[in-house]
Amino acid sequence: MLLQKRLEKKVNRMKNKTIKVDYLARVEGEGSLLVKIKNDKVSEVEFKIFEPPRFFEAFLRGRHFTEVPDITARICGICPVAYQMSSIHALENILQVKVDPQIRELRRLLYCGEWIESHVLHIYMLHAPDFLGYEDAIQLAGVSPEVVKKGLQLKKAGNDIVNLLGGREIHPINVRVGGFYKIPSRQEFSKLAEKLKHAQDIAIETVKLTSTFQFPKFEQDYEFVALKHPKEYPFNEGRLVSNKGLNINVNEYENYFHEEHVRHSNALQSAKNNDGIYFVGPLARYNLNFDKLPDSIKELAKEVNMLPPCNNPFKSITVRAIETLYACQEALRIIEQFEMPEKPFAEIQPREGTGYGCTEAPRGILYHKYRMDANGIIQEAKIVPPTSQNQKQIENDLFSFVSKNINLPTDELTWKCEQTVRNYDPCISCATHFLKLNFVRE
Amino acid sequence: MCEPKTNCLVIGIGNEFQSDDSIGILMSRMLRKKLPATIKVAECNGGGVELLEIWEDYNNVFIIDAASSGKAPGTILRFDLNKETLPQNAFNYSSHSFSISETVELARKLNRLPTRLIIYGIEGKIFEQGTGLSYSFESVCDALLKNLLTDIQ
Repeated sequence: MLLQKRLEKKVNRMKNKTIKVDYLARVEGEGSLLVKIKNDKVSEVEFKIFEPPRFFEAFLRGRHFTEVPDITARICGICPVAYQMSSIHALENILQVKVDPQIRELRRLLYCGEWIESHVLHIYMLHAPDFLGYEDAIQLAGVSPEVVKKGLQLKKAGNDIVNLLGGREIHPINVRVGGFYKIPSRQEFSKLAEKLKHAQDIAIETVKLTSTFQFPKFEQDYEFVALKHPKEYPFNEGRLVSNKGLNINVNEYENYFHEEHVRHSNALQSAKNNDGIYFVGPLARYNLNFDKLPDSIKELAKEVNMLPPCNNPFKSITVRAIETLYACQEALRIIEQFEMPEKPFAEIQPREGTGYGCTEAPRGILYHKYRMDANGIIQEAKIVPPTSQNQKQIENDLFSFVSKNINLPTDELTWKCEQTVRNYDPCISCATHFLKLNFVRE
Repeated sequence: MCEPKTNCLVIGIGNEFQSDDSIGILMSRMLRKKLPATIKVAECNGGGVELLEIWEDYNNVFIIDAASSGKAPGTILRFDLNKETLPQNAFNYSSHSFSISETVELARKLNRLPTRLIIYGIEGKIFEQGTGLSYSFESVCDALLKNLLTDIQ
């Protein structure tokens, strides 16, 4: 009898395990994760963001519209360009500004810089160690220093773009509503192009390298949401579309999406009205905009077996590499075709109204809305970062992944859960920084 | 004193809006006025892998950053990174993924440490949002300048 009780206890322990990891590294910012398993089934998943809210939307009220790009750039050290661009487009939407086509091109160039910086940091420093079985990039650097050195070289090309056009590498200061404060000289652009040619070669190697990684077999029926532009791979402009029929103007965003507060997160979670969970970021952009990539990149994608649709979020590392290659090529194209505009910015008069902007941050769509009075003072601001929009999807992926891999040894499962979160390159600092993982098998 | 050919760089790291975390930035602004023009002074908001690029062209690099190791606020810690590693927990106050300790170790693996790298950690107590320090800036200022000038010579 005693033996039977012991056996029962043992079986129950196997079905209801408690696994706890206190610190999940290699993500941007601070938060935590809880996975509960009861009777061999996942009972609860919570992606917790306990970083205190930073009230940027409130700071913006009462500020003159000209101050907005410099304030929003401070939201994130990794994707400040995205915050500047979404705010500028929303404000120009109110101000009815028509910018010089060359200014528009330079905005795309600045975005190329940010995508390269952000994607390469994530690929080499944060995500690749997962696939190669290393604790972190330091261990990887010990074994394959040349790989990490190349990553750093590639990232530097992005830094150089943002430095030149943004005025400095982090929190750029050269961007204003209507254009730029100063446009670099043709000579400065030529020097940049030389560096980008070399970066382009490393980006091709990165695509090939990441495509050889072993990806967990995991696919879901996602609703991917991204911008779509008739002629270009999206950075700044387009309609919001999905693979499940969504096709709306940016100013309709709040008719289709809402934010909600959940008890376990200081960041509001976004959901699509009625349908709920959706997926933003590189994988969404790639699946919805593959046709806009240059032929050479499409061929490379075919060569490395990465033709869309791709429904495996673990493969987002290769998609980031492909987007990095695109950013290098697009930057080179812009520099080659660039013609100096007459003025670096358009003159603007304040105007009362409400404006909407949505651009493609490295992690996905970033929505801004502003209401301004006739003196150009901001009355209301709303900012919906990509990580807020992906929170539910991350929880959903974890639920499905753990359910399908419930028998994996605890250490391995824990690592894979962390990797599942890193697939989304979450920028928790933006969403409200610290990610702790609590894994509980009851 | 550092010769131009063995160029010197002082980097102040921190976030000026996070109380005691601002010390590196405040120090670099003060040092820019007090140090000879041959010594370049830089500010860095977040640390991380950017540091490898910032110090790339310099042989003698001195970093000033806030530290949190449980000592009294304002205590100056000194680490010679060519001889030792940084204690993991003292410099982990980074909102992003790469702390200074990790960046230094990454640089060591990639053979990209400056010939001489010294880090001064200034013990902090409050790292919440806000401006101002929880200890007297003046009390730390003179002592750090003295330490730095001794190391530079």
